[in-house]
Amino acid sequence: MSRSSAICLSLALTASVATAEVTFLQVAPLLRKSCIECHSAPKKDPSGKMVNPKGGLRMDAPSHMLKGGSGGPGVEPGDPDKSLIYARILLPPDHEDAMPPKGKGTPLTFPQTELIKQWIIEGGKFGDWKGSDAAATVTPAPATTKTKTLDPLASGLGVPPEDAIKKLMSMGCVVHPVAPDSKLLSVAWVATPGAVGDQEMEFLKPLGANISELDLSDTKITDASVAIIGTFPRVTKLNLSSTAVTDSGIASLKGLVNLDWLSVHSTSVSDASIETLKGLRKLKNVYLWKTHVSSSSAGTLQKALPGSVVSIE
Amino acid sequence: MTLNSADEFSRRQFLLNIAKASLGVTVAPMLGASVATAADFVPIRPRAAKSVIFLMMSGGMSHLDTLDVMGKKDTVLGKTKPLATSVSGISISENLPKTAKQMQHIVLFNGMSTTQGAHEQGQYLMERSYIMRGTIVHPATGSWVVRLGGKRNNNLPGFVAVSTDPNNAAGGFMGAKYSGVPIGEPGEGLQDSMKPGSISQGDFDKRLSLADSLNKQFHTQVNNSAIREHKGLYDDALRLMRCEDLKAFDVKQEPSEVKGLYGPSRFGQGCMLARRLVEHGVRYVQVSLGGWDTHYDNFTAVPARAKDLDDGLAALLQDLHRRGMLQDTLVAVGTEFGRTPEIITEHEDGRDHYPKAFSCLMAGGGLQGGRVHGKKDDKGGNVTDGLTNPQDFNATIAYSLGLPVDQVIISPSGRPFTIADKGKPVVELFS
Amino acid sequence: MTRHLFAMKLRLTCTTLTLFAAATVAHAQLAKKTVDLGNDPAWVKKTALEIDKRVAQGFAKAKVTPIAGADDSKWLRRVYLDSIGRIPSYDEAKAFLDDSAADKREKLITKLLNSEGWVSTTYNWYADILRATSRLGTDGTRSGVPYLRWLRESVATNKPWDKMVYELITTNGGGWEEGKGAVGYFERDRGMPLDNMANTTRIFLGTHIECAQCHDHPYDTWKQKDFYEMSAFTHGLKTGTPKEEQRKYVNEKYNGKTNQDPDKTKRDIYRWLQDNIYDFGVWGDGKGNIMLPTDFKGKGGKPGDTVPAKSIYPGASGSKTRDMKDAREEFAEWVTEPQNPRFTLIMVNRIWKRTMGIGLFEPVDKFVMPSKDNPGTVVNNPDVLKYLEGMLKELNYDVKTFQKVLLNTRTYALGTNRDAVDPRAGYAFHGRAVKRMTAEQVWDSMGTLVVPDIDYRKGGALSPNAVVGGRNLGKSVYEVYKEVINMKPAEISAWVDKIISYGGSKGGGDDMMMMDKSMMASNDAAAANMTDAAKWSAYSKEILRASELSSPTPPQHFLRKFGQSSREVIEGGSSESDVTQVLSLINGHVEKNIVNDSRAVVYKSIDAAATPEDKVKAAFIGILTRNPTPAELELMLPEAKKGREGIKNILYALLNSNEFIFIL
Repeated sequence: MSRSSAICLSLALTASVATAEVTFLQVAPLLRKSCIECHSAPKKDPSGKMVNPKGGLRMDAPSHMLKGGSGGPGVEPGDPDKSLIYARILLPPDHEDAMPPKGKGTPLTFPQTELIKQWIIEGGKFGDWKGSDAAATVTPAPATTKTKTLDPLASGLGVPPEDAIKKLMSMGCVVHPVAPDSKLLSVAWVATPGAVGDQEMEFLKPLGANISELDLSDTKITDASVAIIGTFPRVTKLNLSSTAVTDSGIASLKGLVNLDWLSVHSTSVSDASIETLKGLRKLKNVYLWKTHVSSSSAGTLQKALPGSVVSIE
Repeated sequence: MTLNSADEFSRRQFLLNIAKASLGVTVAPMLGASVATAADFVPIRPRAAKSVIFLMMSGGMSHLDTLDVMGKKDTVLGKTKPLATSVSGISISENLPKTAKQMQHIVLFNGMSTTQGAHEQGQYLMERSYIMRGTIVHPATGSWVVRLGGKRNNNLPGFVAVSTDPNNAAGGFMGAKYSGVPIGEPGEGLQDSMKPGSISQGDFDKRLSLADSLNKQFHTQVNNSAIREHKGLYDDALRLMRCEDLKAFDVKQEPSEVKGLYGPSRFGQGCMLARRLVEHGVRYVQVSLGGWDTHYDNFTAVPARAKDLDDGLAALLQDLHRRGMLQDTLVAVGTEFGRTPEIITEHEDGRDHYPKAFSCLMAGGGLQGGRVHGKKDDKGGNVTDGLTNPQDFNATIAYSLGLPVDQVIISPSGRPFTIADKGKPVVELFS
Repeated sequence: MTRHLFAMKLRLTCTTLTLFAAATVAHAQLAKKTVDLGNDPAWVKKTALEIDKRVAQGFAKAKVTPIAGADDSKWLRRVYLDSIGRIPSYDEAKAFLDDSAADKREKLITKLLNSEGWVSTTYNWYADILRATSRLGTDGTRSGVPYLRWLRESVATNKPWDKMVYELITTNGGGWEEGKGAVGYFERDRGMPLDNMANTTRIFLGTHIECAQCHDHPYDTWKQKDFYEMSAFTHGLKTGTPKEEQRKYVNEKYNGKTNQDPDKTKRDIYRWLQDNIYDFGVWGDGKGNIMLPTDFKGKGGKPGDTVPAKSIYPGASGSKTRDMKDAREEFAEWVTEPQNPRFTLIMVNRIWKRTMGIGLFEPVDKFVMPSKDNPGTVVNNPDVLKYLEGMLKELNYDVKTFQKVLLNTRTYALGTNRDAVDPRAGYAFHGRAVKRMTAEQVWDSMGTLVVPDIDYRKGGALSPNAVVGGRNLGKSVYEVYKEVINMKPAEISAWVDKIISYGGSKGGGDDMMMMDKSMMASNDAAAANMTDAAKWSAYSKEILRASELSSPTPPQHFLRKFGQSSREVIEGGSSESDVTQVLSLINGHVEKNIVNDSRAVVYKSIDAAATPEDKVKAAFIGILTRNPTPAELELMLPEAKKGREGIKNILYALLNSNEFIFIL
C-alpha cells in the first residue's frame, strides 16, 4: 500500500464488500494450497516412517475438521475465534504457532483469511464435500496415551445418547466425556442439587453404561437411587456425600468392581459397610469423614485395600 | 426440578441463536448461562481438577521467611527458624506451623523467578501471565479459566474475587462478563441479590408485573435482540434470587467448628467462603491477603501475615481433603515477587523487593504432594534448578484443569493471546 | 493556520515579533468567524441541509426509505441524552412539549450545547478517548486531577480539537504548574513511551501500529521500523521535573537508607512533595531519532541502528545524526495539520457516532486503506464523510458547533429503526438505531430524578485543594507548586517543619469553594453554583453527575457495573447488559436512592398533580419523557389511587421498563 495520498483515500471511501454467502468451494482451494500437506490422514514418508497429521488436526474431511486436533476444534461453526484453522492463520508470521509455518504451504493474505473467517461465521458448511469421510472405513484417530488407560473400560461401549445428555444438561447437570474422544462420561449434579431426588434417576439411566464419574453429593437421593447406580458397570468415581445413603445402599454397590474413588462423608454409613467396601478391590481413595464408621474400622479397610488412603478426617 | 426446566433451556438457546444471528450483539449476562457452559468443555486429560482457589499474597511475600528455608545460611534467614514438616526431608519456616502438617498435599515451587520488580507490574504478570501494556488489558487467569473451561454452575458466577482489588480480577479484553465478581468482606454475600427490605413481597411482584406490561407494549415498537436480551436478564436475576445455590455465598451457614478451623481473620474466612463456592461449582476463586511489603521490620511483619495465611491455608487443605474435594480443587499460593536475602538493618531489619528468586506453592488438583519443585542457592538469591516463571506457574494451573494452554483467543483488536502466554506446565508434578 | 504560525515562532528566533503579532490577529479572526458561523441560524440550516442531501442520496443506493420523523417526545429525549447526557427533568420536558414555537427545536439545541450538562458529558467523552484518570501511571501515585481540570476547562471553553491535541503532545512543565495540566497525557504512561505512541497513533490518526511494536504487522503495511520512526518524535521526553537535586533530597528523606527522616508524618510530606512537585511533570524535547532495540527483528534495520523520526504518512521527519530540539512540536504540527489524511477524518467520525449513534465507519479508531492484502475500511457514506471533513476544517476544529450542525439535521430527527442494526454491516442512516444508554447516561438520568439542577452540583473529585500530611492547607496545590518548586533543600526542610507546626484543619475536605470559575461554562453558572449549594445539602453526596466523580469510579460502583470504561484503554466502555446490572436495578440503586428517597425531585411534580390521572402523567413525563397511552393510564391508575405506596410502585416499574434504558 502506498503511504497516504488523496487518491488512495478516495479509493478507501468507495470500497465496498460483497455480501453473498461464502461457500466451501471458495475456501477449499486455499486449504489445499496452504494446509492439507501436513494436515491429512497418517501416511508413510519416503523412508517408510509413519507421519501423523501435525497437531493431530486433519483437514481432509468435514468430520476431522470439526473434531480438530490437540489445540481445539478445527472449525467451530459460527465462531472463528474458537476455530483452530482461523486462529492459527491469524498469528504473526514469526509466532511459533503461526500457520502455515515458514517454508510450508502458501501464506494466506488478509482477504483470504477474511474469507475463511466469513465462511466460519456463516456456519462453516461443507456443502456436498465429504473428503475422506466418503471412504468405506474411516481411520480411527490415534488414541492419546492419556485416554488409552481408560480404553479397556470403554471397549464395546456405544456412543452415549445425545438427547439424554442434553436433557440432563438442561436440568443443571454437568455432563462431558472424561477426556477427548472418550465414550465414558463424567456426570455431576452441580446446580441446585437440593432439587434432585430419586425421581431424577430416570434421566441418568439411559447413560448408565457410559457413566464413569458420578457426583450426586448434596442431592436428596436415597438408597433407591444408589441401588440403580449399583447397576452402572463402569463407575470409577462416585460421590454420595451429604446424601441419605445408608449401609443398605452401600451394599448395593458391591458390583462396582471398577470403583477406585468413593466419598460418603456426612452420611449415616457405618462399620456395617466395611465388608462391602473391602470387596471393591480397586478402591484407592475412600472418604468417611462425619460418618458412623469408627477409626479402627477405617484402619482395617485401609489395610485390606493395598495402596489405598481411607480418610476419616 | 422447578427452576431449571427444559423450557428455560430452549429459551436460552433461542437467545443465543438470536445473538449469533445479529453480529453486533454479544449475549453477556455475567451470571447467566451464555458464558460457555462446562458442557461445551472436555478436559484434555481425565480426572482433571474442576476448580481453582488462588491465594494471592500481595505485596511480595518473603520466601526466606515462609516457604524456602531449606539449606539456607543463617545470615540470610535472620531471626527465622526452619521447622520440620509432615514430609521427611522437607522443612519450611516456623512461621507456618499448621501448613507444615499439611505438607503431604503440597508442592513447593522454590524455583520461581519473575522479570517484574514493581508491585502493579508484578501482580499483573502473576495474575494474567502477560507484561503490563498501555495498549491492551489482558484478562485475569480466572477469566481465562471461565472462557476456556466454561461454568459448572450456571446459577453462579464462574469467577469470584474475594477481598481482591477488582482491577486485579478484570476480564480485560474479554469484557466485564468474564471479570471476577467482587466480594469485599467474606460475610457480605453477593451484592443486591436480596429484595430490599423496604418493599413488601406483594409490591415487589406488583412492580415487576407492571414493568412487564409496559415492556410488552414497548416490544411491539422495536425488534431488537439487545432489548430482548435485557428483558431476559430479569428472569435470570429473579431466578438467581430464588435459587438455593445462592447459599454458597452465605458463610453464616458454616458450623462454628469449621469457622474456628479457618481462624477469625478476613483472609481465613475468605478461604472458607472459597471452599463453599467451589463446592457449588464456581470455577475460580481468588482470595487476596495484603501487607507482605515488608521493607520495614520484616521479622515482626511477616509472622503476623503468616499467621493469617497459615490458619487459612492449612484449614483449607484439611477441609477440602476430608470432603474428598482436594483432588478436584487446585489450591495455589502466589505472590508477585520475593524479598531480598539481605536484611536491611537501617530499616529495622527490613527486606526489599526481589523478583529474581521467590517461592509459591500448589496443592491438590491432581498434583502429587509432598514434593519440592525447583531450588535456590544457599543464599536464596539465585534459582539453581527448576526455574519457573509466573507464566509457567499459570500454565500448570491450566494443565491441572485440563485446559488447552495452546488455544488462541483473538482480542477484539485482532491480537492473539493464550491462557498463560508462552508458559510451559510442569507436567511431571502430576504423576 | 494559527497554530502553525505559533510553531514557526518557536523555531524562528529573530523575526518572532512580527509573526507572533500576525498569528495573534489571525487567531482572533478565525475564532470570531467560527463563533459567528455557529450563531448564524441560516448557515447552520444550510450546512445541515447539505448533509441531509448527501445522506438521502445514500438511501437510494441502499434501497431503503427514510423512517418518518421522531415526534417531539422522542426527539426531546434523544437530544437531551445525546447532547447533555441525561434525560430531561419533568419541568424541562413540560416546557418544551407545551411550547408551540416553530423553531423550538433549534432553540433547544443551542441552549443545551451552551449548558453545563454539555460540558459534563463531553468531558466524559474525552476522558474515555484520552484514558484520562484521577490517578496516573501504573502505580497511581501521581494525581490526575490537574490533567482532568485541563480537560474540563478545555471543554468549558470549547477549545478547538487541534489546539487540544497540540497541547497534549507538546506541553512541558510541572504536573501542578498552572496551565500545564496537559502534561498528564505523557505522565499517564510514564515508563511506557512506546505504548503511549501506539495510543497516540490510534486516538488521533485511527491507525493501529501497536502490533508493529514487536514485529512487522502481518496484514497491515506497518513494519516494526515504522513504529520506531514514529516513536523517535517523542523519544527523549522526560517525566518528572529538572529539579534533580530537590527530588533526590526529598526521596532520601522519605525512603533513603541513611538520611531518612525518623518522623512518619514528615516522611509522608516528603513523599507528597516528590509525587506532586519535584517528580511530576514533563520536560525535555523529542530528539527526533531513536536506537532500535536489541530484540529488533523487523525488516529494514538491525538492533542498535539509530533511525531518524519519520511520520507514517508523509510530512514530518527528524535527523539520524543530529538531535532536534523540537521534534515533539514538529510531530504535533504534523498530526494536527488539516492536510494530515487522518486527523480530521477520525474526529469527524467520532462526533458523528456520538450524535447519530453509529459511525460512518467502525470501529472509530481504525481506518485501514485498501491494499493488495486488505480490502480496507468500508465507509457507509463516503460523500457525507468527505463533506464533514471539509466542515470541521472550515469550523477550525470547533467541536461544539460541528455537533450543533449535526443535531440540526433532519437525519438526526428521523424516526426509530425498529430492527437491530449491526454497525459493521453498513448503515444508510435512514432511521435512528436503538441503543442502550451508556453507563453515564443511566446514572446521570437517574440522578436527574433525585437531585435538583444536578448539572451544577459539584463534587470534590476535581478539587485542587492541598491536603498534605493529613493537613488541609487551605490553598491549592497550584499555589504550593509555585511556593516550593524553586526551594533549596534547606528551605524544603523548613517548609516541612512549618507544615508540621501549622496543624491546619485536619482531614480531606473536598471543599467545593476551591472550584474556580474557569471550570464553569459561564460565570452565571459559577455564581449559581455558589448560591445554590444549600439546596443540595439534603441530598446524598454520592448523587452527582458522573463527571463529578473520580475517573473512573471504583470497580464496584454502579457506573462500572453498567460498563463505564476503566479508562485504561481507549474508549473501553460497554453498553452490554448483564445480570448484576439488573440486580442493582431491582434490588439496589433504583429502590434505595430514588424510589425510597422522599425528597427525590421526581416526587415534586407528582405531588403537585391534583388527580390520580395527572399523577400518572407526571410520572411518565418525568421518567419516559412522554404521556402514557390510554392503556398505560388504565394500568397505572389503581396504583396512583393507593397514594404514596402506589406511586412508588409506578416509579419503580417505569425505571425498570426496557423503554427507560434504551434510547429510541
